[in-house]
Amino acid sequence: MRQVYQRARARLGRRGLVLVVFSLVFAVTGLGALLEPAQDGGRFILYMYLPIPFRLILWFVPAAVGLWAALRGTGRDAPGFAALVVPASIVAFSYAWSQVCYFLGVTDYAFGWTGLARWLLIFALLLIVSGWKESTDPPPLPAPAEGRPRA
Amino acid sequence: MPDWFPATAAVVGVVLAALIAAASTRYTVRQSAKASADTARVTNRQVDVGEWQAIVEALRAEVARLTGRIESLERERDAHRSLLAYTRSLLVWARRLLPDEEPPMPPTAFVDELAYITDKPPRSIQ
Repeated sequence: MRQVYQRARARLGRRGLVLVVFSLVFAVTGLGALLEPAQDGGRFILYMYLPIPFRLILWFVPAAVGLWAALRGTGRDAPGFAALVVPASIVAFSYAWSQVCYFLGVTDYAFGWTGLARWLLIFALLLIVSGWKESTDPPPLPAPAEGRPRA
Repeated sequence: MPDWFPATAAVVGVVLAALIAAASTRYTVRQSAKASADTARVTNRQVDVGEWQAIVEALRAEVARLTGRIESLERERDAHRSLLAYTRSLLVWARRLLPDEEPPMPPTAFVDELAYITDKPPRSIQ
């Protein structure tokens, strides 16, 4: 398992690994929307008003773009972060707007902030990681060769 | 609450969500470009470090070569000192073989050569 991780780390880099993880999370979320479309039915959450095909596009397309971008490497992975941040921002804002509408009296769903917290975390992580450079450590110094100067 | 209010809230929310998504996308693209530039800078620095390591290795090899040369010269110097000491003892021994009267001086060129090797005036031989 550790070898698999190290090989993936060497192949994808830390940015690519984050892209893969979030892409899988989004794909699984899209799978949940496919299997159980009415998870938050009846609640005033904006993205839940999207038709099912659009919701599947909202999850699966960014996940696919994220996986594709992860394989491209740093410097060419911007489409992955740009794609993943779209559903994260839309869903986070949907929950935030739900909470705002609760305060305005539009809806009686009072727990939009819980979903907001979850998706704000993912949204913030995507924004933060998108600015990471790939490597910070210079290569290690080689071992000293023979023939050291005498003291 | 008016009937149009929920629909208006939904529309406003959709517009705001689209704006936020667009701004977020633009931000991540800019951040990715910055990360790419930073990564390239780090990579270039690694190249610089690699060149520096090559210079260090070359210097180490040169130090090793000079150290060997110094040791060789020291061995040569020690051999010359041994030869000089033997030559001195040989001269003393030869002096004892001579009669008591004043010995003839050795050839001038030989004395000068000894003075050159020992870095002492020729009279010190006596």
